Amino acid sequence: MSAPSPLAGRRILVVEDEALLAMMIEDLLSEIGCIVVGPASHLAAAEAIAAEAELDGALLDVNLGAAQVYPVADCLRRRGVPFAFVTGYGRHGLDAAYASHPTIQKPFKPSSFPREAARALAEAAALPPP
Amino acid sequence: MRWIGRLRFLLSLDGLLDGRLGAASLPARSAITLAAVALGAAVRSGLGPWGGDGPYVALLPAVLFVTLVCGTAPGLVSVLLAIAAAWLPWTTAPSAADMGGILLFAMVAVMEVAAISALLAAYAGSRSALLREGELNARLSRSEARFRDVVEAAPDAMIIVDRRERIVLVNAEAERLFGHPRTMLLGQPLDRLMPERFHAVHAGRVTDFRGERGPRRMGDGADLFGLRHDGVEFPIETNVSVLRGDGDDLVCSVVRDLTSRRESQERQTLLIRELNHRVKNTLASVQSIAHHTFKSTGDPLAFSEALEARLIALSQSHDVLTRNDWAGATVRDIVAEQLSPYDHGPEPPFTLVGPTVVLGPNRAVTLGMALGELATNAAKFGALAANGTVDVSWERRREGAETWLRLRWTEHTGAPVAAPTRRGFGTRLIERSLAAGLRGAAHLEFGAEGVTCVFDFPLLPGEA
Repeated sequence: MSAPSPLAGRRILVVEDEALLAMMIEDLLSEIGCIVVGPASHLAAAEAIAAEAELDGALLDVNLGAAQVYPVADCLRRRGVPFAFVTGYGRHGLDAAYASHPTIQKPFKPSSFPREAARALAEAAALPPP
Repeated sequence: MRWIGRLRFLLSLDGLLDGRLGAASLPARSAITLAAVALGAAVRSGLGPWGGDGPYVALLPAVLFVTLVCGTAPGLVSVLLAIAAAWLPWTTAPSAADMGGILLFAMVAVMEVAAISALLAAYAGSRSALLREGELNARLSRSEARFRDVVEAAPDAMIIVDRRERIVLVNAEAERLFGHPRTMLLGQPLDRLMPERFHAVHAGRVTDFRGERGPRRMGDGADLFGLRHDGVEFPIETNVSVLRGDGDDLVCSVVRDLTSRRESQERQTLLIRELNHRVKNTLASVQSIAHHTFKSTGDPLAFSEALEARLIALSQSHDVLTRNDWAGATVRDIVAEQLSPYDHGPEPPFTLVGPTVVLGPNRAVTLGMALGELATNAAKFGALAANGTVDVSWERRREGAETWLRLRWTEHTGAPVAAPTRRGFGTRLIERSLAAGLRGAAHLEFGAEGVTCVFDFPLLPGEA
């Protein structure tokens, strides 16, 4: 057994509108001992959780149907919760305000996803406060 | 009185030139010549002593007439005939004085013929020059009319300005594009048709351009804009060429509206981004399906069967959406697409009852995947494996301020069905699709008749 993940025991919000993908992320995070909050599949639910819930981090899908996830990102940034984007567009598709924010590229390798998530969230936590 | 007019024409120079007195053929010309000379000779002898041995004055009108009516050669023939006629009275050789008279007559008559011929030739020359000029003018105005028709019919706006940048010609498309009637444009500075920020740049370009030859394209790539009468700007490209004239060069601009081209470029960019997003999401879904299927099936054969069934369910959901341009799908179509592979007999083994409800694209795929799990299960263990039927019904219901959809899947097998021993990925996929993808809940029961499942989820504002 490898060393426990830095994310073990952390409360992570997952925002993802593809049900299948949300399930996989939830499973992968649960396997390393994460407590998954959500998954939220649409903007309103994600905003409600981001504003209220006790969170140690968040993984955000950028496109939620017709909406984009940036209001949730803004809210988390205000609260000082580290987060990373999970997107098929890569960095170039991100809003200018988050152009250099840590991202996880979709599709990802399930085996390395927990490691990537831990890296991205650590990077996000190291960013200077706005 | 028409004959007077006709006579006047016949006696006019034009009439004579056109040979209307019948002088066209050789016999007619000969007859006229002979008759005229005979008449002259008769008049001369009729004059008796006044005609005397005097010069042959009485024959000069005959020569004049023949030359006018029949032309130069008959005129000269008439001179010879006149001399012969004058000779006839003598039986003896003429005296020296008579010879002098004849010679004088001949000279005067030939000069007469020459003068009349020259006069007629000069007139004919100026007349044909006039005719040619008239024809040339007519051809010129025809070609100008044709040029104007072409300019009017052109699908692009055309604006011609003089050296002071004043508009001298516009076509119908220019009126339409800029929204000004022609009368409001002619004589106006070209600046009127462009936003103010381009005025200075334009003036500079004009100076550069007047010296060049050949057409030049502007606005291709560079952002050029036209200004409509209502103050709205629109993107254009323009081809400018100098029309060289004597000292007065005109500049012709052909202006094309790029609005719809720009729009379709933007649409295409958006579509490609959208396509990229969907492909990535679909691949991620496939990855997730493979991941979960692998974890919930024991052996490779079961894995490949289950994976195949799920990929087909995903593909069928996409088919429904593609038929509707990915705008969404009706619940009926989503259910029917998942059940249709099992419709082999004369009667479909399922019934579908419910109102028209349209779901958004992602939610349609989620519902399709959940229903696909139910259908696969029914085909393996339930109603679709045992000649039973599946009844699917759905209805809207109010839940506070929201509208919810309740969909009921009921299998009638006619034989008891054993509940599965463990909760597989299928059950989890159904329950969690409903929870994560549709914000609802699924209630699954393994009854004696087969599976009964109730989906309950809120409809989004656009869907209700």
